[in-house]
Amino acid sequence: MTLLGTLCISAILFALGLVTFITRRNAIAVLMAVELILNAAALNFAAFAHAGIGAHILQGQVFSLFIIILAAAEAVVALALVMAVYREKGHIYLDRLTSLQG
Amino acid sequence: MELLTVISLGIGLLVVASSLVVAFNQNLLRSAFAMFGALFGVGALYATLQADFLAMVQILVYAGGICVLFIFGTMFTKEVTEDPERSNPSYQNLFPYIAIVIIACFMIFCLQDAQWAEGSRWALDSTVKDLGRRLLTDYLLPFEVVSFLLLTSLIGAMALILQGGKK
Repeated sequence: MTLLGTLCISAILFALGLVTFITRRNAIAVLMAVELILNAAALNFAAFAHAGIGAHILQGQVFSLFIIILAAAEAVVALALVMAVYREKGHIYLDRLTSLQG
Repeated sequence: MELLTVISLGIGLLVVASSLVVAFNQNLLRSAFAMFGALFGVGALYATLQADFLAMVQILVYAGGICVLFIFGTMFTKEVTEDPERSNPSYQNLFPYIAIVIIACFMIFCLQDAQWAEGSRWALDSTVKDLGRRLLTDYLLPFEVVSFLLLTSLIGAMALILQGGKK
């Protein structure tokens, strides 16, 4: 596939992640949206690395690797936060979480 | 059309269809399982882009780790088992969807308009050796920082969960 095709798939993935991020009320669905957006960014880096744009080859792939690692760390911490909120409040609907300090 | 193009197009369709399910299904468990399709598809796209190590890491970390974590979280929160059909409600208004469609069309229009300098389609045997060498020479500091960050996030997640249990 050409560079343009991969970039278009990545753009659609990003747009779908963004619409999930904006419209969902469930906190876990919002976390899934963040993962979709990060995947789109990492896919862009890999596509540019494949097309040979950059200072040296594999530069883009290293960036994708770091994006994947950071996304894993972010997902773990965010899911722990969601679990803590669920224990405290009994639900994880973001539009009903309006108070600070319990 | 060559075979690789057809395969990549099929994988791209799989990714788009799975993320449509993630974005628009009202059942959170179905969204969580559709994440498998999207993440596996992105991994397969990495494989078509000659990023073999990246594809393996994607499948190990995302499909094997994060996706299972999401399914666990979905089942742990009680709304799903009580009423699965309404476990993933969305904002009932048309404006965000219209805005996103406009943004996506604008991005694709800009991508088609741009002139990309498509250069060398390099063909390596395997990227693992070169990636490992780069991680321990050029990117040594980010590599160490990331290992520290992973340790910190591990301890932080455990502390968050344990503190929630005490109250």
